[in-house]
Amino acid sequence: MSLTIARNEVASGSRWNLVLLTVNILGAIIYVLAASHGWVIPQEHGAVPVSGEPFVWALFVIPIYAVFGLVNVSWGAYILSKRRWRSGHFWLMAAAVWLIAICVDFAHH
Amino acid sequence: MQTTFHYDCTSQHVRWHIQGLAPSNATFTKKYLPPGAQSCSAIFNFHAPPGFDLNAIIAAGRAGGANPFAALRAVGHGGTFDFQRSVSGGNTTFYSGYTDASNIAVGAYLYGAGFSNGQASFISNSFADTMSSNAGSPQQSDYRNLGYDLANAGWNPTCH
Repeated sequence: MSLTIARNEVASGSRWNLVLLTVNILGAIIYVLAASHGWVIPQEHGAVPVSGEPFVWALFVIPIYAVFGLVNVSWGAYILSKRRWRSGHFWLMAAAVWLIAICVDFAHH
Repeated sequence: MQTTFHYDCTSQHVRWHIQGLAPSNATFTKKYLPPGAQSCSAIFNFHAPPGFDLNAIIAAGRAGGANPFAALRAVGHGGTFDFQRSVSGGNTTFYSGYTDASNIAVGAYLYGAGFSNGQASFISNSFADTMSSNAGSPQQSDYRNLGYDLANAGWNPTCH
């Protein structure tokens, strides 16, 4: 009986981890698309100073940073407090996804 | 004098494709001013297009607030108040003589949207210092601050 409960908990935990990872991947895609509105136009690269781009970029990405920052800090705190190290793998994958997304964004400014 | 760039680089094409802004045969032309440009004066002198109205920009800022899509339509690339870019059929003409007016418009828009000048400077300076390959000149912040201050004072530049 207790083994069944434990298995269910593991399955439920994996489901949540997958959901959170998927949400993070979707969030990272939305972030890149939103941030692209502030990217430099290729022909203007290094030739034209910025005007409204920083504000357009900030208005798009700050809410995304805030929401996903809160979600992932809470997720990380839960993993640490409950010592769910397997969930930590999913969290690290989500962190890697965000790192790639941020690198893609920053490379286009 | 004008310079025309045709891009056919694959990576640039991918960038454009991601941004969804232009077809592959788009052109970028750089000019100083279009015909009919006005000379304006408000502490600094600058050029602006006919009908330049600071109050309209402030009103757009009030209406748009912190909505990023409204900001994009107003002061983003090719936006209503991005006077320095004229986009037609995917082709962009960049008027360098209107850069100051565009920066004034950004300042006035941010004032209307309810941002403080400190917030505006923080965002702009952080962006320029950390990630922009087109980092702003001091002139950029001067004219953005001018736009903000003029909007704050309710003073519309005189143009002729």
